[in-house]
Amino acid sequence: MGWRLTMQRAVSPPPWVVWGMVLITISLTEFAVMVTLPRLLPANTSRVWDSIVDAILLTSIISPLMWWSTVRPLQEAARLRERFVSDLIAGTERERRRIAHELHDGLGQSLTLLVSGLRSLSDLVRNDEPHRRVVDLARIAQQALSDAKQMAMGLRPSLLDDLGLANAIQRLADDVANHEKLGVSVVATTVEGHRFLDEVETAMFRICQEALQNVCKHSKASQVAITLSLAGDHLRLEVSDNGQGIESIRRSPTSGQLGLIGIRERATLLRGQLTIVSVVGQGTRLIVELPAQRQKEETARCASC
Amino acid sequence: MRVMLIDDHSLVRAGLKQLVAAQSDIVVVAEANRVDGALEMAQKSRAELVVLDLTLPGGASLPFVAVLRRETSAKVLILTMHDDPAYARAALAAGALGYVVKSCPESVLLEALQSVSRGRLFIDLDNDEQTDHLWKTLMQPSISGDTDYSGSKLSSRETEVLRMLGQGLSNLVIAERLELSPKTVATYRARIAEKVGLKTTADFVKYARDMGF
Ligand SMILES: Nc1ncnc2c1ncn2[C@@H]1O[C@H](COP(=O)(O)OP(=O)(O)OP(=O)(O)O)[C@@H](O)[C@H]1O
Ligand SMILES: [Mg+2]
Repeated sequence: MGWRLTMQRAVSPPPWVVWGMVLITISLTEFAVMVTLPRLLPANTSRVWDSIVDAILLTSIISPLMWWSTVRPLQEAARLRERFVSDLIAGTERERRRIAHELHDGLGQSLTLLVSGLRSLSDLVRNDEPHRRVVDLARIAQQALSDAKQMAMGLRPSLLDDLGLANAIQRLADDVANHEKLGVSVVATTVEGHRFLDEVETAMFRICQEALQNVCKHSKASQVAITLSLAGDHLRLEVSDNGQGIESIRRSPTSGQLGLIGIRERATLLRGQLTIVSVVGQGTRLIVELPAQRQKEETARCASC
Repeated sequence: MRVMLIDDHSLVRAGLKQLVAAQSDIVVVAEANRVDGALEMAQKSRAELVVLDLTLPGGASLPFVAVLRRETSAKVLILTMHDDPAYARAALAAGALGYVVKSCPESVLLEALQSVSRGRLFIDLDNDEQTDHLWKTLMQPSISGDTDYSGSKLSSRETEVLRMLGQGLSNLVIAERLELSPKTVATYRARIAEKVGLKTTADFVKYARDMGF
């Protein structure tokens, strides 16, 4: 006749249910052990001996129960969450790459032809009034083109896929330096020319982006130094500013403050590490280390495939 | 001058062909819209100059520049949407002799075709400031040697390195082609610089050309 699947409790029960189950399990087990203990032991054994047998019995009954009822579901939930988050991140990046490509090489390409054509046309049209109109149109098309390029860049710079992390971060730094009152320096000599796994490059780029955004938004710094380096088999990014520093990082931040959490999340997913060192009044250093998995030469990425 | 066009946008190719049609000394001998099979086409059509887009279906075509340089004698002119200097630097390092951004007026493109076909480096990022800056960084002084070789003749290996430097290739690319370490190439370069009194990449390009390399 057909069937129905209800999935309310797919992974783990709500916390109060788990809590109740734990309490009931412990009480029932303890009760059972206390009831059976006198029958198991010969009469008038010592108190210490009593307690030892009690403890062993209790532990050996409770531990498998707890394992099945609590630890395993929690583990499962954590694993599922990790997979979900990394799929979500990968999916978002893939989609951003695709749209950026369409904008840059689809729309952008047509606008480019328009710009180039109008410019050439303006050289041919000598008449004053038409000449001015064509020049105006060329300028409008030029603006539309640079908007499209800017949007594509904001979604995901093609530099990251084509020329790698060091170049993309350099460009990011140039853009920030051009738009903010902030001196930005980049040192990436040891990684130039190296390519890493897509996930690693993307994560590092996004982390650097968020760190720079924080420096601009919160630090009141005049200088920020970005260092990208290879330390052993780890890729290391340091973003350090000379601003006012962070007073304290709240464990559960107020809503909206997800930047640092996102950085930590990306780092942990790739088995990396995040360190933040901050001295109030002197500045903040954010250091991320990720296992540096090299990319094989053959598997160059492309946006359209 | 026999020219091959590689671009996935037919409108771009059509525009280029129209532009070239008015020139008596340039003919388009082949067209392709992807990297696959383009090498064979370039060889068969005996193209002397390849105009190449950087973003093609089936992957970025930057590595293809090196392939073209290795397998054919064609000069490479990049015609692309990308106006970031990093792309231009990478393309020139891979062996391209010209780099022009697509939004440039057609007159610039013609100039680029003429320049590159005569073996002259041509760059236009459609942004004067950035183009100038790129020229400057390309011409930064090279490493100078500490041994005095001045006046002595170039060895055959040094001549080979000089020829490649003259094509505007980077130390890294030369090292790869000659199967040397980049450091060795830098040493060669320094020695050549001492022997014939050259300093900048532009000097090398000019000298090599004057010597007919
Ligand atoms: N470089 C820095 N200098 C000074 N304070 C900082 C710096 N980076 C972060 N902070 C402080 O840490 C807090 C948390 O940063 P986080 O990036 O998590 O959140 P946010 O930037 O406020 O919001 P969001 O990133 O989600 O837009 C910030 O509100 C700010 O007070
Ligand atoms: Mg933030």
